[in-house]
Amino acid sequence: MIWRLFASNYLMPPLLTTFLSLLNPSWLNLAGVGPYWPLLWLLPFSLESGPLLGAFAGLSQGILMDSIGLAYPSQIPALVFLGFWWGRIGSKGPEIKHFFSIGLLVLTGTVIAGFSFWLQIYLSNFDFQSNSLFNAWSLKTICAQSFITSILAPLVSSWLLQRYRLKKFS
Amino acid sequence: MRRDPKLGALKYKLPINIFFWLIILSLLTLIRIFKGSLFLDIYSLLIRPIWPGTAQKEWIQKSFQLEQKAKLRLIEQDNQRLREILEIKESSEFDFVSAPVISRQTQDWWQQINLGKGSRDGVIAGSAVSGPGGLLGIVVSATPTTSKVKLLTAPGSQIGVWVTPSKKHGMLVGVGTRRPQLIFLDKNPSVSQGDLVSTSPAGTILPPNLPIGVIQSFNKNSLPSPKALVQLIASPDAIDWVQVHSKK
Repeated sequence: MIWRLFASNYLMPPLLTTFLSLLNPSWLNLAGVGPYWPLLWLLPFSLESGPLLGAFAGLSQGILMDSIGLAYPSQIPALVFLGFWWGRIGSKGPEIKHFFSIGLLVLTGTVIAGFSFWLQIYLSNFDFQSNSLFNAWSLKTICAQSFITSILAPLVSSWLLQRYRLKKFS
Repeated sequence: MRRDPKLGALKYKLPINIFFWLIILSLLTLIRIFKGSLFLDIYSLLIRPIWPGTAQKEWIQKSFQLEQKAKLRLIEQDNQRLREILEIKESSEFDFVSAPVISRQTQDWWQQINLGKGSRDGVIAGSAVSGPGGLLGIVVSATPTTSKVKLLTAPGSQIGVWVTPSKKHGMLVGVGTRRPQLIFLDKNPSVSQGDLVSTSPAGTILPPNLPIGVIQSFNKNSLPSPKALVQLIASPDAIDWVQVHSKK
């Protein structure tokens, strides 16, 4: 029973987000860019589990994502940071209830993750002559990804958060 | 409903300790080391019922034959010339495997496609992948039933190319946008808009004379070396079947 609960609540969401990242349905793409799926479950999990478990969840999801995709740029730094940060908000900050707050947190998280990917690409291709500080492609990818992910967040993350809280009070 | 700060997300006390987390971390590390092999194979198996149909495969094969005919004269000339100079490797040294695209991220941070054929069908890391029109990318890793392809547009992608009319070598570098950058090794490459970019006719790693794209703009004043933007011929956005060129 306990393990079934553990599997349905804490194993299925990360595996499902990894599958969805692979599937990348085109009808959910904005300007060719799909949502950043891992954040949709990492947010509710971290809010309810605290910074340490949040960071661990970020690390696990990051390892999984780096394994199935191109390992460069790596997703681990951004996911560990976001898991930790959202865990701190969940344990020390005010309770997150409104779907608007969830959307806003995911929006900020996607921008931070996008910035981390851009920084890795920029630093490894550093060329004073040709690289502008922020090229149009990076900006487009960050904008499109944060927009589409934050639109999905109130639906998916709110539901997961509610599910975690219901389990907590039941 | 009042929130009880004492309760964590894991409401039920699980029989877990540090060893549990170490086991999870070890499992994840194993997944990372084997590049998600098991995960990708399961994914491939699960979505097998919705794999792309064969109509596009036949269309690709037809267009591939047309492309081959169009290229024949050019290849014959090149072969003749290079046989005199070098020990040229012929394209027949490569096997073709048709593979369905089972996952694609073409404009994201990670520009890759996953194919439904892997090492069991002879696909190995480093194999060239082409669609109707020309080269799409290079296989970076393969599991028994799937393979991961890094597109030419992906940041960090680098391959040596050949500009046909001027016979100049260059390095095609992916910068994330749809048009990769061509960096010339020569100070004065004398190329112009519309010139065909292909794999090197003397190439041994990639199949020789495989079309890649055409030069869209050229900046000869760029430092330290002249640069050009290349419009790729094959588009990974719409392709459901690709050809993998594996060495025999």
